[in-house]
Amino acid sequence: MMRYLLRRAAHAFFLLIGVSLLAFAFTVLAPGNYFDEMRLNPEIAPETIAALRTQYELNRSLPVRYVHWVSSVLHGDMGFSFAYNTPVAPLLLVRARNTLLLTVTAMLLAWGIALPLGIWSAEHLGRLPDRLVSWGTAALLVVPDLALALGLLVIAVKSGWLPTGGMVSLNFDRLPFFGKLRDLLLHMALPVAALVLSVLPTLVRHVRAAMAEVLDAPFVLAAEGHGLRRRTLLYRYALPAAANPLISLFGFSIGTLLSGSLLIEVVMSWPGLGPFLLEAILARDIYVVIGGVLLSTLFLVGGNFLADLLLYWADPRIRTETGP
Amino acid sequence: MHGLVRVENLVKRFSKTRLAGPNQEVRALAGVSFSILRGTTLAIVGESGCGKSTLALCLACLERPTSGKIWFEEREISGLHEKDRRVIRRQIQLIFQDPANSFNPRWTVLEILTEPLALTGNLRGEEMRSRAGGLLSQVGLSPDMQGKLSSELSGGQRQRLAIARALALEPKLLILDEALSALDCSVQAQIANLLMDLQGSLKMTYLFISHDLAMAAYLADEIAVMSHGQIVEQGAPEKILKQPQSRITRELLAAVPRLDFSPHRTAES
Amino acid sequence: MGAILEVRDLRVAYRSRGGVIFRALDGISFSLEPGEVMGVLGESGSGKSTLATSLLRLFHANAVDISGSVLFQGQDLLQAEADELQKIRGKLISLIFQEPSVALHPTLRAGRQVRQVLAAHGMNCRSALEKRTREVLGRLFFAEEAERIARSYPHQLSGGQRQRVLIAQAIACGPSVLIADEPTASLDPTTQMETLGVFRTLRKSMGLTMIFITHNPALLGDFADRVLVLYAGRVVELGAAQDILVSPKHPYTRALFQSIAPLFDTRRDSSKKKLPTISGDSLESSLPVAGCPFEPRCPERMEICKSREPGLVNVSETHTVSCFRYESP
Repeated sequence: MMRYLLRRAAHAFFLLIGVSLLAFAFTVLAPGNYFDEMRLNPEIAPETIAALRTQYELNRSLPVRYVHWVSSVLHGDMGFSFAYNTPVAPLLLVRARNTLLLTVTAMLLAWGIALPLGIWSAEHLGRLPDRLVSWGTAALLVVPDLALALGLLVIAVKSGWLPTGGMVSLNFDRLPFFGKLRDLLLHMALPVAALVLSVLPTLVRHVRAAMAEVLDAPFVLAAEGHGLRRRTLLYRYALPAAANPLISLFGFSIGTLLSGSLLIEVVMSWPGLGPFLLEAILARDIYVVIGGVLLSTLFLVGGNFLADLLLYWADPRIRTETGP
Repeated sequence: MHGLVRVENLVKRFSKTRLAGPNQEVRALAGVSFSILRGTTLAIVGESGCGKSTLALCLACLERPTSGKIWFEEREISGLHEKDRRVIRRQIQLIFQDPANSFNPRWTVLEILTEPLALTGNLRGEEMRSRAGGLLSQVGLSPDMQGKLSSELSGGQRQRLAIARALALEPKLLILDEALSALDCSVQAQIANLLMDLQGSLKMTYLFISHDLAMAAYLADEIAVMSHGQIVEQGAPEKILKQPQSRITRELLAAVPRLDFSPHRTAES
Repeated sequence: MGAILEVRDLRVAYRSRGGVIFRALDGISFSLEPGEVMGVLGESGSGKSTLATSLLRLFHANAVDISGSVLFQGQDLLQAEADELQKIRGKLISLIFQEPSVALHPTLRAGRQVRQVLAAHGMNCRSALEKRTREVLGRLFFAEEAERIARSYPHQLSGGQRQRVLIAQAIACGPSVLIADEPTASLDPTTQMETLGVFRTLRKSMGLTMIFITHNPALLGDFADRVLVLYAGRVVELGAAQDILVSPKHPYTRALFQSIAPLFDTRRDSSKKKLPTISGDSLESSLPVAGCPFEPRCPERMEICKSREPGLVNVSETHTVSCFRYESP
């Protein structure tokens, strides 16, 4: 058991290193840097710019800068943001928190809807409920995320029920606790809805496919023959057997928690990681960019690692030997 | 006396890698020796785990023995390079137990048969089709089955198809690994007859691997009983059936479900 | 003594993917007396597995045209309410599926799979479940083995062990009727013998009534009280095991026995003779539209066999055959 875990952990670790190296290299090697903008400003003397560049070590070689960066990351210091003039880490973490608020809620909702819906669809394979679900998911798949988000915004604007952007209202700090909660939830409603709708069809189809295959298997009919009730049969007998592809998908879901909501955040003006990173890339705020990429990769790699662990735990055929 | 096939002291060890702990050593074959004369049938009988399937794979050049020698037509083949083994493999064909899983489910009968024919390389289009038709007739299948999928055939028909496919390469030795075990009783009789016919007309040599001692005794010229990777008894069928020497043979004999069809059978409790 | 199970004119058809209707069971009738073992002799395509699953109303999604009745203790299972049926399945009538390697859940331990059957029928106290599971497994495995088997997953067990776990699931709630579909088909000869021995012991100790389905007549020799021969979804012969196995009447039964008899004939000479076989195939595509289903392959066919289906005829008090050769003119 330990060997398997250590192997997977080692994979994850090397992946992180590789990604950080590549991200660093690409960002630094990309033409231009933050201070190029300043050169356009006649009030700033070229010597000041040169001094700033030396101060931020922009003149030293790539490997040296990488090593310095790695050692500071290990101390919890992810560098300095040129644009905001503060350390990167607190900035990123706040934004990441905002994103996670959206994506974790959306993920829980999406899986919470996809599982029963997919199971129900598989149970009635080929008949009306299944066809309705198939058409519904097909329709959702066809509509681009952008159109979905904009459509929801239009509804919000026309009906006036929901705020059309941002995370909190202007008077947020003056609200009582439950008022704050309500305000936040109202603002979250649209982006979460957009995220769920964009992710739902794929999930439902996967659940449906996995369950349909299992429901056809002899051991399910045999269990029915033993008098197992429908609910037990579906959720505690068939679903665990269908779990393998779904666990991998779940790991992937976790992996995209930080990175999958960029478009929605931008459209709905949600102060998340996505728009923040976009800004930083355009401004060549390199340490923010690299920090953000690293954080996303951490989630991606962590999500896959979690999926490996879950698979290992859930499927005894992976972890035990065969044979009497 | 040299046979078509001669095996000397064949040993095969497998190392099962485990996720935790040391690797497990499994000795599938522990020193097996025998020979098969051309045009005859040798039956290897034993329970599961005795090593008979590993033996089949080694003979068919799909596994390399850990030690020991195999001669085929007076030529030592156990140490050959992959390139030469591939040539030998054409002359030794395997028929497996499970008719359902032996074929690509998307291929038609014709495609299944023309695949090995294409390997021989010297037939084209119309010639290939007529040869395929000939093979089908040889195994008792109608040539109009060419367009069917293997899933549309019965178990017996699938085994006939498997035999036809094996014959396409004109092999000298046919290894039947539990080839009849998954079939119904009456169908087993049909395929057994087919095998006997083919042996007569094509001078085929068979290695018949089975746990069914009764059928083995009916088809074989010589029986070898295997247990734990070794041959524990070998001889002519009558001798094995009437005077079994080894305990394993006696157990296998006792386990054959019997039916006395004579009208004067006394009632058993 | 009333019959414990009575099947009347059971008909089940399947619609294949191409839309073709295939009649798996075409009018099956028989009755089962308490405590007896009925051997059902059927080869592939005879409808034997459909018979096994139909008795508990376990139909695949593409089953159509289900008619007839399956009377158990006076109640027709084909018309019963779903929750009544649930109380019968696994508890009063149990089915042992064929192919143990696919009839067990792949990722649950064997002990848990037995417990689930118990839990489905009302037992929910944890300790009672474990105790009963241990008891049941103890009847099928040696005491030292039983604990280890309970904790094992199906892929860690041998074919014979898996078969016993299936049997454990079937007898856990103490049913009165056990239906076993080809329970020894994928097993080694010695394991086959052991499994048959297990059935004999259980039958005696639990007073079971059994339906034993197989394609190998030799397995029914010492075991069955009566034998029912199935061909193309119809009963072609039914009677006391002694009668049928020693003097079969239906041409199909006779041809079947003849094709395997030489294998057991210890008096034969050493020359290899061909086995007597039944010509042709039992595929549904080769079945005639009218008349006796065996007619195309029958060595004793007559003109009338093509036009009408034979009814069941009494050859003796305990032996019926469906063949024109035995119908009095």
